[in-house]
Amino acid sequence: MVLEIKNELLQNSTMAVIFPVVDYPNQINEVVKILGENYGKVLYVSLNRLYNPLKRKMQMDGVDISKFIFVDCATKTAVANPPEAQDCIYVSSPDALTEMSIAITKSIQNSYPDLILFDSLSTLLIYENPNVATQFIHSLTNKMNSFGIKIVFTVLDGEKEKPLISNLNMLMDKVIRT
Amino acid sequence: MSEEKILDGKNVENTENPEISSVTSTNVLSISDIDLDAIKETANIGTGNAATALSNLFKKRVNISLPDLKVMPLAEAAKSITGPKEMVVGIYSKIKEGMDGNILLMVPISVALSMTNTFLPNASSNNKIDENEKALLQKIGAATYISYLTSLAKFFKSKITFDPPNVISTFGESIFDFMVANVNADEEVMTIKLGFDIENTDIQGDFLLLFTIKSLKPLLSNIKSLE
Repeated sequence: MVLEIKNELLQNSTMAVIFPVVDYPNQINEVVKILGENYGKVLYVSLNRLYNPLKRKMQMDGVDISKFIFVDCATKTAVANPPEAQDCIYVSSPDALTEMSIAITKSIQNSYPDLILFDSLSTLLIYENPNVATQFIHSLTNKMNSFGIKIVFTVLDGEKEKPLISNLNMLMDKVIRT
Repeated sequence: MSEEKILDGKNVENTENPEISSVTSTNVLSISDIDLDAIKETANIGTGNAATALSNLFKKRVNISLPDLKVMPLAEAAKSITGPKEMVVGIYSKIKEGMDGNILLMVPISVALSMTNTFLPNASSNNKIDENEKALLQKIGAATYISYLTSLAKFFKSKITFDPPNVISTFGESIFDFMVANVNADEEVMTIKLGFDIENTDIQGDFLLLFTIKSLKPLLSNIKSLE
């Protein structure tokens, strides 16, 4: 799985990776590891994992976290004023799309990542219908194409995701099922 | 599986004392057996009232499991604070005053939508959680937590308040990270987990509570000093 992702990213700029629901935590950690090994700088946009525990987990897994910067859309839903971090911009919630877009742009301008990992579209679908999610994805991929930055979206293979998943082939250079 | 007590809005039964498992590491827990017995009461207290609150909201009988209570160092708590292997929605609140801890009502996404659709059946947004649904879930959380924590406050003869609930979303296995937000890593904690389901609906989920032992101790002193 990770080899396929690595190889496809060499040829494609935008990619969606569809994970089986029950194995998502293990597989996403594998994807993070392979991205850290193969890219100089990765922007991790997390909609459902908190920055501090995420970073600790990555360190435990042997990921070079100096290669990662973060846009964290989860912590502020639980901690009103999280301590500032040089490698992280906090967004108030996973459905604050404008704020999220601004944070992503700011991260790009500050750190010039090679690739963005957007984790995950399934969380986005909790708060937005598939049409809005599709528009957001379209807008984000266009922006990344103009910057020359690759982007990988994660999504769970669930019932709620089916309408969006059926659109992904039109939005992405490549869609992979793990 | 713990024995269940059926509670409806009118008949609130006192639950029996839960089984408590004290999980110790190489460090001895800094709390006596007598205090542990007192803390057992906290697991029951409020359970009935929280169930009543839900029952009154949904106008249906609520089944609630006996509390699964554990006392342990925070680092060992990950195994007892976990959720299902799917995306979940939580109504999360930090205890603001009276003790240190967090409280959470956790349900699968489909159940969160069932909960909101109960009160907003004609909403155009009935397949997602937008601002209306968020506000509704926050109100459900607040009503339930007020009931639970008021009972605790009466028991401990102390004021206990909480921050306005927020809606969170994560993979169930990551719920631990939210529950230990705002808690120092070297704390000993008490965790309480109760399952609930609302009869004749698909609404079922878990209450999760986490309190630091350090913040409970002064409250235990309150009770002892008045005996």
